[in-house]
Amino acid sequence: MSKSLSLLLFSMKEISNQRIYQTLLAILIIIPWLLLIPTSLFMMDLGKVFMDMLFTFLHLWLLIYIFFLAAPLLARDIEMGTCNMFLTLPMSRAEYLWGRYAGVVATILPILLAYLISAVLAFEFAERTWPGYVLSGSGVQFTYGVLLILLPYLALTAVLFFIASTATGLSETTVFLFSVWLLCWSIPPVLGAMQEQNVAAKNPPWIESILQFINQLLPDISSSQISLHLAHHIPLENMAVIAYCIEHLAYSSLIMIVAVLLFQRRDLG
Amino acid sequence: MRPEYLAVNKLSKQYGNNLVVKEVDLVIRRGEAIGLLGANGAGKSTLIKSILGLVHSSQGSVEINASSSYLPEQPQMPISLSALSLLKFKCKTNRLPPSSAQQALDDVQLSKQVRNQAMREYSKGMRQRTSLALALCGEPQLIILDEPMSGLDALGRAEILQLLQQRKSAGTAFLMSSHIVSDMVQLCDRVLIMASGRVCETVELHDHSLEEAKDLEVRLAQWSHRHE
Amino acid sequence: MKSHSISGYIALSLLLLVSIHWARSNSHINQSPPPHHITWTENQMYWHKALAGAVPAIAADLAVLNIFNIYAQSQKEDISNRSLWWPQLYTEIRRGQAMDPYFRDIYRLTEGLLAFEAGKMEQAVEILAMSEQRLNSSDPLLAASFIAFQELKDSNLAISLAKRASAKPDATNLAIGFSSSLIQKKNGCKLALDFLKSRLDGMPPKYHKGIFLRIERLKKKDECKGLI
Repeated sequence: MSKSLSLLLFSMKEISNQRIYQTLLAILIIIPWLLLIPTSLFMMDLGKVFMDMLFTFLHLWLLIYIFFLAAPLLARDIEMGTCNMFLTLPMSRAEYLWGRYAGVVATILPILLAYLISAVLAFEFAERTWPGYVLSGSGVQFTYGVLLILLPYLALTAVLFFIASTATGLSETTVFLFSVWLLCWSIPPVLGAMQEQNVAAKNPPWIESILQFINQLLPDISSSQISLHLAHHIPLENMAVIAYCIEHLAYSSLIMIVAVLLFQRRDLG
Repeated sequence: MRPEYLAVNKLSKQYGNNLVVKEVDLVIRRGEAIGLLGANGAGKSTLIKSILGLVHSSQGSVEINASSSYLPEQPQMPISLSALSLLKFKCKTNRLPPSSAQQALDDVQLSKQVRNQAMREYSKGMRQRTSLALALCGEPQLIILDEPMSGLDALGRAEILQLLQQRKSAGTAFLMSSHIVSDMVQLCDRVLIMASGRVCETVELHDHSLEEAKDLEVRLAQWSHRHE
Repeated sequence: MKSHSISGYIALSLLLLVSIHWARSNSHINQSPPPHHITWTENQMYWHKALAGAVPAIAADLAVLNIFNIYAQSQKEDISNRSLWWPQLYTEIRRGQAMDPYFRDIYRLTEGLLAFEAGKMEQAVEILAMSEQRLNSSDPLLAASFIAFQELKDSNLAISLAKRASAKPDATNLAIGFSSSLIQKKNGCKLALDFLKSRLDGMPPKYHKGIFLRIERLKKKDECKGLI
């Protein structure tokens, strides 16, 4: 078994043994059922509202996972010197960083699966409770959406590794990651708005150029149109989905390669 | 002649304008134990980290011709896991039989009950023993120890020293940094006294007696005073 | 801990729980009407989109919940004061529509609250007409057409909206019938018949029977006899 694969399994065990992870897992099994309560307040598109809420919680807990589980793990590794233990086993820095990244990403899967199963069962229940207002096949649409929404978070996790490979500690890592996330969150809709003629006419073109440049550097975590379309059962174009997957996987890999290069040059305390 | 496990040649490390390790030469052979003695900031830990590749040396070379392991000064371990899980992980990555993990934990006398508990529940001494077990697991040929006795009580130190001496007799080589001269005298054949990043003096130890320890302390004080 | 101190803590906790319950039920302060000058601008939409980021659909859902709240608050006011809430009602509906233009509840609330409760007919027609680009449903356009004809007395707009509603894939005989009667009133029997015939092309066969019935009915009308 390669060292990175061993570290992947070790990281999964390390993260999943933490109480915050286990609490998150338990909460996410209950959440879809609780979300049926606010859903019942709406009138017609109940299935869509339910899916909106599930997608929003997906974004929320993925962020919780990255900020409160992955970031402290990596910051502690590098700041406190836990990574020295791995590197002197021995293990190369590239093996360490890729193994940790794969481990952090793989540990999302059990909670994702639990959330998905619970949500699909809740959809089945909703479909029977509000026939006509929850479209059949919503569970499938939701599963598709979950897999697609996960991809930008793989890129954000890669950005976390990039930041941590040069940062001095948890505070620095968290502040930079939060800033990146904030920009990723708000720039794509602003850029979308700037494409409209009346807005473009009001703003000087260099503002859009700067925003476009920043946006190219950051991971595209918007995925807003994906969730919007799937919630309304509007089919996604296959080519666009393929391009979206390639974009995020390529971006994640590129950022991880840069992170490894930076980490290899770094003196560890 | 016994095989060379570690050869350090003119190793230097500079942070900005500050030269923290200056042209250190060092050779460790099979069954040999070398001590690094120096006051705080003398450059011992940086030298060890440069040897291990954790810190990039500014100049010089390091050649390790043996399986090696490292015990850091302040071991930081994944506290959500047990000592046994940690050692089993080392066995997997180094392709060692899983029994090596149990053996190493037996060697450092970490009780069977404790080794299955999460390390967040361990005392400092237990963590130190776990870290030592990690360094000893798989019987590496060269073990680099940075303050191995910190956190251990007198009895624990004696037990661990005895264990290290047994390993040394079996051919394991050691590079050990410590503040505690008496521990170093008991294990090491040769001690390098460091001050301001430089090896100031190499002292050969013959009978590992109390007198040698006292003599070493005097020399250390002299060198440290000179470089203040 | 002694048993009397435990019972003391329990008693104190119960007392605090009762206080919290009492305070919560008596601290309700009615929401005051929002400032009357609230208006919807396109710039607001961009800010809302930036804030909603990856989850614009939930922002639309929250807008709907806000609409429910505005309606509930307005019902607590005297009829003369209810209009203070309508600018905010319009803003929330616009926000919801901008965030999720596919959301049918928004159009239903536009028709139900903005048009018939708040009496903002022009604004309601404007929002309902926005559904054309996004929804396959004829409902909002038909409602807009009805409002334009009945309340705004704008036959041209009503006919245009009714025609667009009838062109939707789910357009029912109700939509087609309404359109044809509007056209007949405004433009006469010939154009109404042409419109009905044109519907046959884009309509699923199950709706053809109803269209034929309407054509027959139109032909039998006194004012149309001899014209067709």
